[in-house]
Amino acid sequence: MAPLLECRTLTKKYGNTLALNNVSFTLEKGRIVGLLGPNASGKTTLIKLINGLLTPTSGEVLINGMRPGIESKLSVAYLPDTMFLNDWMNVKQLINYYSDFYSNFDVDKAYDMLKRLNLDEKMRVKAMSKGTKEKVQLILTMSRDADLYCLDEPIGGVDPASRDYILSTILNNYNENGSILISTHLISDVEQILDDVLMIRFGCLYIHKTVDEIREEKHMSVDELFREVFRC
Amino acid sequence: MLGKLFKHEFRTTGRYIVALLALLIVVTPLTALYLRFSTSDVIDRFTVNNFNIFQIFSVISALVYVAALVSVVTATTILLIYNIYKSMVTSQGYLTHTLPVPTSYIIISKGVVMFVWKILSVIVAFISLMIFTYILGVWNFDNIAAFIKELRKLNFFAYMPSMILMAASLIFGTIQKILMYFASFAVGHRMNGHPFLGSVIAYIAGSFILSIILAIANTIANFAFLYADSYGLADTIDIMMIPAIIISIASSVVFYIISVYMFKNKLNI
Amino acid sequence: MPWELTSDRPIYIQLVEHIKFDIMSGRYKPGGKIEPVRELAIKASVNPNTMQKAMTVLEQSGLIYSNRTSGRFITDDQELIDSLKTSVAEAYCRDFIAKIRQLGYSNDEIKDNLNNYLE
Repeated sequence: MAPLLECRTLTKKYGNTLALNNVSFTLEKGRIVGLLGPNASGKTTLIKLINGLLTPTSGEVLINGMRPGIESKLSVAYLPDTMFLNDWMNVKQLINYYSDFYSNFDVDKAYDMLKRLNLDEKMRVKAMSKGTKEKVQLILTMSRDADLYCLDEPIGGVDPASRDYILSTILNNYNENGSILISTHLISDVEQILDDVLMIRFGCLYIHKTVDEIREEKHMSVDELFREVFRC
Repeated sequence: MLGKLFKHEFRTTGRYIVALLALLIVVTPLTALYLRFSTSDVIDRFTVNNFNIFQIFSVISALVYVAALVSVVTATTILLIYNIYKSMVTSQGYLTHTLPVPTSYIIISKGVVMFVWKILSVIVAFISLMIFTYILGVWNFDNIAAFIKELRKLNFFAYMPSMILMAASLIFGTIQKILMYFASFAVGHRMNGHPFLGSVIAYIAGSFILSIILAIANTIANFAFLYADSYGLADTIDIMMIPAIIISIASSVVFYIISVYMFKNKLNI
Repeated sequence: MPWELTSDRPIYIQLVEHIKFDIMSGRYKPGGKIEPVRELAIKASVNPNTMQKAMTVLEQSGLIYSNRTSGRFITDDQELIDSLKTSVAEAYCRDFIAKIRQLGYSNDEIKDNLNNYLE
């Protein structure tokens, strides 16, 4: 049984810049994993490689034992840290779009979550506030029944109440048959929902442990460890 | 899946293309009627010192109409090119390229939609021109019938093969242009930090290579033609067009392969 | 509202303590039902696996037992709960006395102060 996600000596270069350097790890299903590192440490590069939006310079990334392709795109749900939706679409059209292309998209769940945000189904993305847009993107992504969710900075630049909303949405959609990979630099906010931690430093995988291991071995929280590791 | 891609692509682009074409259709009779009014006897009453303000406006509106006609066709193309760029290379590409569909489907759906709208825009422009000239009395249904009769008398329809070839060359030329846009984006987007600039450079390079190939092919065709017996004008056109059509088809295939390969295996967004 | 959790100790241990407290204080009645792991995890805003770990510890201690079909329940062993209460109370006392002795009070002074405060 192939692991859910496996990276083997994964390397990505942009010209002369080494964005990811020889990264190797495996991820099993049923885990919530934090991909932690400062800005430009390679987190987004790793997530894009998993989603086939970038191709490795060397090494490989395997999802359920396969290279990124049509099958993996069905089982991996990606939430970028930018706006990626069509401005002119409204809520109803977005849901139709997603359910058209993703057979495992839960339409009822999506409508339910969006209604709870008091969003009219005719509201266009263009008319939404930044915070609302981010929540809509999250809801659409989490309404897919995927094996692996890659959330790139889901709580960056968001007010504390929205942060709670986003974290509880993530927890609510967690299922033991899948895993969630959360890339963030706001560690103290997500630490308590994480199982495992992947700390990336200058494109290299620096630490790969569970949150409990870190707390037990180092007697500090992951957040404190991060501050120590990345002290300027 | 391909059908769904078509559906969504038509919906996304149709929003503004249909509005643009509809606007043209609406504006055409208004402009034509105004032009007719401004050249009629009614206006002469407003002539003062050989100067009539309505006539200036009529000239302007005629010019504006011609400009609008050309712009609508051009604008359609530009909007569609921009749509392809936006949905494949910018942040919207995150959604497009993570859909569980083959890359070829994405290109085919967008390409076909662009082709349809381009053809439609030309047809609508033609219809607009017909409406415009009809209102201005340039033709009516009687003299059109007479005109077609004259054409038949001149054995105009013996030139059908040439016209078919011309149509084919336009159609394949359009397909080639569309696939060339895709290929330019496919290659150019990889330029770090400047995907649009890279695309422009790729497009220019592609055009350059293509024009050289076309020039060579035409030269060869001309030589072949010289060695044959003398032919009439229509056959000259045919001979010029055949290499162009072949090159269109061949380069379309090449551009398609480049687009699929680059977007599938060398994606970098 | 997420539960109050500090950062220096494993989360599951703190969850165990939180639930133990709810049992002792009577928020969970003996023999009563406790929410499923997922629900509790969402309430506490923690990872369900971590909450599961806490549940396992609690089950091992006998404070909670699970019935495969009907969920998890608090033990109705009142003695167990009481002895837990006692040991926690004792720990509080030990802690209090150690601290108050640092201020220099004698045992009698401590008793008097306590009595006055309680009235």
